[in-house]
Amino acid sequence: MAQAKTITKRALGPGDAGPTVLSASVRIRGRLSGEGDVTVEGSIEGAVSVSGELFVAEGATVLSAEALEAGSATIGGHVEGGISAGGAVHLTASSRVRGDLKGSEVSIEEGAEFAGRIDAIFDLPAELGGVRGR
Amino acid sequence: MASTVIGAGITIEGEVVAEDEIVVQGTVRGKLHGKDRVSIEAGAVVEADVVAGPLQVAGSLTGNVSSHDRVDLQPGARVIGNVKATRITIADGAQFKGNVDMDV
Repeated sequence: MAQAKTITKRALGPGDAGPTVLSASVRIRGRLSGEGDVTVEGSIEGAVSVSGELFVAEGATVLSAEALEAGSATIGGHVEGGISAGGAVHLTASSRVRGDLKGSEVSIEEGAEFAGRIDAIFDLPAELGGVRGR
Repeated sequence: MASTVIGAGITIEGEVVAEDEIVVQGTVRGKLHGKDRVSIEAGAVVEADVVAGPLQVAGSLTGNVSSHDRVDLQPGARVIGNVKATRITIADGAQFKGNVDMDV
């Protein structure tokens, strides 16, 4: 008779907000929210609100009607809807972002495509002189 | 190492579709469609219809399940819904309410 194999389970303590990884094949339509760090390699259509670091990898897509909320954000993929972070927002060279950026620090690498407003307390570099930070 | 992990603090309300393995430690409400293995770990809460390859449940699952492979309800699992699978195990200590359809 077949017997169920014992499967080793990883102990997960209460309140242990482990990292979340959504691989390239994953598509989510809906709202993603909660605690912990989130890495998106696939696509999300909907709102995102996380307390930890949000990492949108190169090739990933997040389409949202409202700004993505995160503790901090590093974007290498395509984001529509803007980003609002308590900490730093970083757009890498492969990123394509449409929407407003808000964070304690905002950095945009050369090669990034960005359309929107920047809302941050810092001195804007000369090449962003056309956009007014706050 | 599973490629997709929905961490313990995370809630997804909507539809999740994936080609490869999914490990759920957090909460999913809506629809969960995996082509490969789906693991609903202890502490996870899934209120969704689940389509999967092999499915193992140690957490709470409310919704109908359809698997083209096996379904293992492990000790501590709490499942309310109908299960359609080619093979199923219900471990001692698993709670289950629903119908089983093994396509016989």
